[in-house]
Amino acid sequence: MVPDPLLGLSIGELGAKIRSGETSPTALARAAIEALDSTGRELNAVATVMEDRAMQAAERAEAELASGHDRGPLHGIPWGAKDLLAAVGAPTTWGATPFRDQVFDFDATVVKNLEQAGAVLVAKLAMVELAGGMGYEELDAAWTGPGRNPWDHDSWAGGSSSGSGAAVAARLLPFAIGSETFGSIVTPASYCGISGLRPTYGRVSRFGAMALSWTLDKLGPLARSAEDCGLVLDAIAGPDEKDPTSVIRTFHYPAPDGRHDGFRFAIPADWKEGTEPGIVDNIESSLETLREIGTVEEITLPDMPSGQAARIIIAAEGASAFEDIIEDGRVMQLRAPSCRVKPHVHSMIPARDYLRAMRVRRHVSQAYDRITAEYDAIVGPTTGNVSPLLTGTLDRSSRPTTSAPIGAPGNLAGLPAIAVPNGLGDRGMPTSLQFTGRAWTESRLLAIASEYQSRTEHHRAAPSA
Amino acid sequence: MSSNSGNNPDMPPMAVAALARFGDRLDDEQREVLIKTAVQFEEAAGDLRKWELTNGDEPDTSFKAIEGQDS
Repeated sequence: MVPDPLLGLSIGELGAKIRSGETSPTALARAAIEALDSTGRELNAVATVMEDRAMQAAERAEAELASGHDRGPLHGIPWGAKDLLAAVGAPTTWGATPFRDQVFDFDATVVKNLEQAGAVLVAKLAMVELAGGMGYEELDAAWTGPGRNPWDHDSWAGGSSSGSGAAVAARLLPFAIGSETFGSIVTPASYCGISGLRPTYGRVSRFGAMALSWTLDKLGPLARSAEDCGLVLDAIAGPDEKDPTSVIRTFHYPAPDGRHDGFRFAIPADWKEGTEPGIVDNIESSLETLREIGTVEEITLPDMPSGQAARIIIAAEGASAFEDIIEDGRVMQLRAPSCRVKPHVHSMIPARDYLRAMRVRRHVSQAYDRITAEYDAIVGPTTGNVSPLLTGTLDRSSRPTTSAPIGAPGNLAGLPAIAVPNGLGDRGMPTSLQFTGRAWTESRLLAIASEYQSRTEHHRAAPSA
Repeated sequence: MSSNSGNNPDMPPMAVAALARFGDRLDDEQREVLIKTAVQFEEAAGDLRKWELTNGDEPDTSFKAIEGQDS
């Protein structure tokens, strides 16, 4: 079944069509439900389609708009939630067999905020079990099956926000919410050829979201353009008394004084190391575009054990967050064979190693604050490779997100980043350009990414698979 | 790998502890993966120990992103 072409439009375009009467929230919700139930399931992108809740919300949006009560750009727009967000009306399975029947009687703050903005929650989207925190190596690592890529169903959608990436890329939904502890938004965005925004740690409340690593987890949007990511972040950002790590800072999109040029970019000198030739070509082409709106300097990043620190922190915090299923043996029900074994080691990480990682982390944060303060964005490939075939495995010694020069320190320091498509590489699969900025500079990153997308067409490319 | 591999004195302490506590639920192949995983974590911890820290270097136990300027 071919998804309704309307679902391929941007949030702004859909909003205009809703308000002109060319379509309606109920028509869009119905189209999204049908698309997710057919194509979405073929891609293993769906955990639960929430038909009843979606149609009620769509009817409410339709009535409100008809009465002149306009909640803004997301009003009546269908969306999907990574299945680690609590939402009334569907199980919240965290992608993992031991939690397939888990039901919460409340909405996560992000779900509430999007409902407040009038967006219509249509589905819970598939994800790698427990957000990949048990150290998965196999690409078939969710009870829903391996996340298939809309560009090639035999390739991986990326993880851990697999369904969020695939559903948006396949034009089943205009946007979705994903989470990132260590690459889980930007990697599926890269592999699926869409835009993905990882907000600054603390920008978005995580209340109601599965905890994997309290000091690294972030929630953010995946959409088809930077502009759409900005509109969604506007709705979900902000402090929340239920999440003590959320920060009192305002965020509005678009920023009133958004710049369009005069940007200062830096690119790590070693960015080509471990990067596929097709990605190198596309990044070099992107740099030419960026030179139209700013300067690009090559810099040498400090040699710090960021990846090692992140690995120990995630493993130790994840072993604590999931101590119950490790202790009682339910961890043996996980899909990926590696996830049935590694948590037993994670639970034995000595406190001194965890604390050393957290002590090193402060050095990394300070070093990268100094670096990012000098530039509007650090640029580079989001991943050093295009989406792997599903027959492959993840090599933990060269994980995709760590091959991006600033992936590990960026997450460790809680820095924002946006990944945007910048062409096609090996096997005709999407490649991606990443902008990483200083903490709290999402507005600037969005302005840069939007300016890049105004000069290129890569974000409009759609899979034909 | 034999099922009594938890007694190997060359094994990383994390693997010894994990096998002592959870070994009964793992087959030999899984035990090998467990030991390999423990070695990788030992190596990561070793890399961190090469990073010089002083007594005054506190852990980021109340981690927050560094305060920058909104833009």
